[in-house]
Amino acid sequence: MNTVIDAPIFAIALSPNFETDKLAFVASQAGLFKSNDGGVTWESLYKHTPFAQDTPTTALALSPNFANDQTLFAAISGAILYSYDCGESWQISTLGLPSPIVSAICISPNFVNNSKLFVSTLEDGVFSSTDRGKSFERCSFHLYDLHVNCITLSSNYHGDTTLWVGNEIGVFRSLNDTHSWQETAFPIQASPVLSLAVSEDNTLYAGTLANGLFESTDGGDSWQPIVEASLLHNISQIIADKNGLFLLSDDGLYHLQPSETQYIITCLYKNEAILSFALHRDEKQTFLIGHSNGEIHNSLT
Amino acid sequence: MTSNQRSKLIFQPETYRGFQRGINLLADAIAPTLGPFPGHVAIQSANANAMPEILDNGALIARRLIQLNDRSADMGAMYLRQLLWSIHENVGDGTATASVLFQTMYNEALRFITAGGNAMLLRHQLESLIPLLDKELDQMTSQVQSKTQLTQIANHICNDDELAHHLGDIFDTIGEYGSLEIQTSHTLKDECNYIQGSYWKSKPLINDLLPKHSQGEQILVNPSILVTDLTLNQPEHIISILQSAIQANAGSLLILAFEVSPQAAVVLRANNQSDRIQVMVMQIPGGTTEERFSSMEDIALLTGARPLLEVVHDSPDNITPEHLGHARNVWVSNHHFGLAGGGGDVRDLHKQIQSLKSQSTTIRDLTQLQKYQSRLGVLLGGTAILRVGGIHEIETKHRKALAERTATALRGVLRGGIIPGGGTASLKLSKILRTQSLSDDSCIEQKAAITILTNALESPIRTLANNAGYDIGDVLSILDTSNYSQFFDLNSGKSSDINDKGLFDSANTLKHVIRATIQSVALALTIDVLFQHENPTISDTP
Repeated sequence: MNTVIDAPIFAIALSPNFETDKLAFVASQAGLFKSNDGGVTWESLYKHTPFAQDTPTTALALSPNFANDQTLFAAISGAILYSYDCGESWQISTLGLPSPIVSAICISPNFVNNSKLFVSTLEDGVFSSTDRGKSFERCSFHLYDLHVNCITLSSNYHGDTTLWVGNEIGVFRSLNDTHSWQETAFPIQASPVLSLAVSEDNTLYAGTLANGLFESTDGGDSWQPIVEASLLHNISQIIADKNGLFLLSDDGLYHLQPSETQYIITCLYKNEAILSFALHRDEKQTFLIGHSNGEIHNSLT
Repeated sequence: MTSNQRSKLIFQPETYRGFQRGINLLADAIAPTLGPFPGHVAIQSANANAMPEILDNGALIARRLIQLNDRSADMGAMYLRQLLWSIHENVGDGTATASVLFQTMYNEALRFITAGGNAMLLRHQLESLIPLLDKELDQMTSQVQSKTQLTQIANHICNDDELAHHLGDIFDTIGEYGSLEIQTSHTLKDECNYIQGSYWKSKPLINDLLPKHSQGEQILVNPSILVTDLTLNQPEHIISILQSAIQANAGSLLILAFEVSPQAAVVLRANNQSDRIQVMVMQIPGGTTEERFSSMEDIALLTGARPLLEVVHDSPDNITPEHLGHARNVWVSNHHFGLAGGGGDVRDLHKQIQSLKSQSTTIRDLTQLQKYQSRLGVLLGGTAILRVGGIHEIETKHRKALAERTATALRGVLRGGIIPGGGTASLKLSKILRTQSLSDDSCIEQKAAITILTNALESPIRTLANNAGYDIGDVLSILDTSNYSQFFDLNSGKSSDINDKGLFDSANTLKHVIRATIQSVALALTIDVLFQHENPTISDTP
């Protein structure tokens, strides 16, 4: 049965085998949904849970090993829901009181071995779990700005245990697997930082509210602006892959391709109502794009 | 000075000889403590029946020296003692090295002056070499790369595996600016805790507001916070405060005040029984007015509170909801309180943190520096607590002092970087000085200064080798003087790689030691007359 999602779409996640299994998940103001047909029809994943079907769900992430472990995580106010059976059943881990709003969930690439995931919140900093989401503990030592909008891991996280978060005053990093945090040299006048992404060569990208896009090639010790605010602002999501960067700004979806001297910006989809997107890295570069009115488009580039 | 106080004047050459006797006595007592195989000094207790104090720290040994019978020697020893204590307070380490350097420099310089050299010119030449040595040390300096390196460095300083392990972990977590409290423990083992959020030592002003079943700690969720240095002595004050909190839709309230009168306390107790709004009352942290002001400033910054202050004649009668700050969580106990997720402006917080960091790099006084570090720890949102154990109280106290000294040195390492250790860096400086080319019209004092410093900078490694039972020739024959990456490992008696063994010293410490020692020796060489009181006041404090 198709359920219409009549509410803002906060996050979208695609199965690693999306091309074949067409599995997609969406976190929205109206709950958590799953599609088995590439985003054409949707069903509520809360229908067999104690939660109201329209429980606002702010973040979502699939295990890197989803094809085998069918594990996914979703965030509601003050808690993380986890499912080990592709959303058929759920359990809950609370994040304490007062209930924080989760901005992002980030899973270790080596999740199958270390069972680690991290959660960023808009009020209480960062939480981590080392038991596949069954319990979480605060890990915000020296993270004095707890309004965390985004979190990302180093491309060599397994070796360097480095993570970054973007918050109201800039970018903080942890070099010791969230034991403690330190401020990077991100210029405070360019903050807040809404989105972060790391490329394969460990270049860090930070998207800001009103000051464009920045990059750092030294882990945050220095930053360079690469796209001005006049071109892109309110950069709320970034995905980095070998073809460049995919950015969501307040008027649409863009692609950045590095050239010898600068970045080439291409508008992929112009629409002021986009809130989130997911990218399936197949030959066709399939996008699912979520809008503020609940519409989800499947775009091919 | 009393009217029957007599004085004695000592002139050259007895001035130099007396000073030299004292310096040599004290330096000879401290020299055996240098290196991985330190000798110890036993200090007789004031109580003749008590166990002597066993020390291996140069500054502490010097501090225990109260007075020598030989008055001129005593002045020389006190002069050296003052230098060592100053180094100890500033950088926490390097006092045995300083002692050895001082002794060699002073003795060699005296030989030159006695042979007719000019002391004032020599002083000038010695001090003029400091910038060159600083520059060379800067070039040898690298940054700490890992927790393993921090632990290795800690172990070289304190020679205690368990302490070094904890301190390496602590400084990997808190960094150069973080707050660390070192306490004694009643257990055998050391323990380390990390408190997330901001945390102050304090006490409840009304004890029975803390529920008995809470095991000593009460948590307030989403409380409003009032900060004031006023004494709340009227029940009307409390009513006014509670009304403001209710207007602000607070479910709980933390009051930080200087004092609460019994009459006012009655209202608070009655309020807590009604469950309308839960209230906790803690004393403003800080023992002095200045400390209380700093605490209030920090809490106001973190929470967005507007303090009520006696100095501007604020009154609780004028309190409004705008005076109240906010936090996501507050915890209170009989000994402290803390908060996390304060509602203050995070950009103002960032500015204050940068300001304190900047100021802390210029402070020399250790007590003042510790206050800045404590404030930084509060604002950064985290404190490490290390509880040091031991078999008995004396050992625990000794290990606590050792932990404090090592912590000071590690902070310096994080701030200023590391250099090859084991006397290698000063040996390299010695070689650089030896190759300094001089112009034909250089004065003899300039040549003498270079010779004196060249020899003095070899003395730490000589002393290290001697203390470990090796001949300096064996050590130097193995040392790779082309790049100083290999060193003579005194533990194994073989060549080892400095990076593999983590044999590093704090760059800041050695820089400070060399600079302070050269300046101190240079000044001492210009002392011509000793003025001695017949019955000086005796103190154990430098």
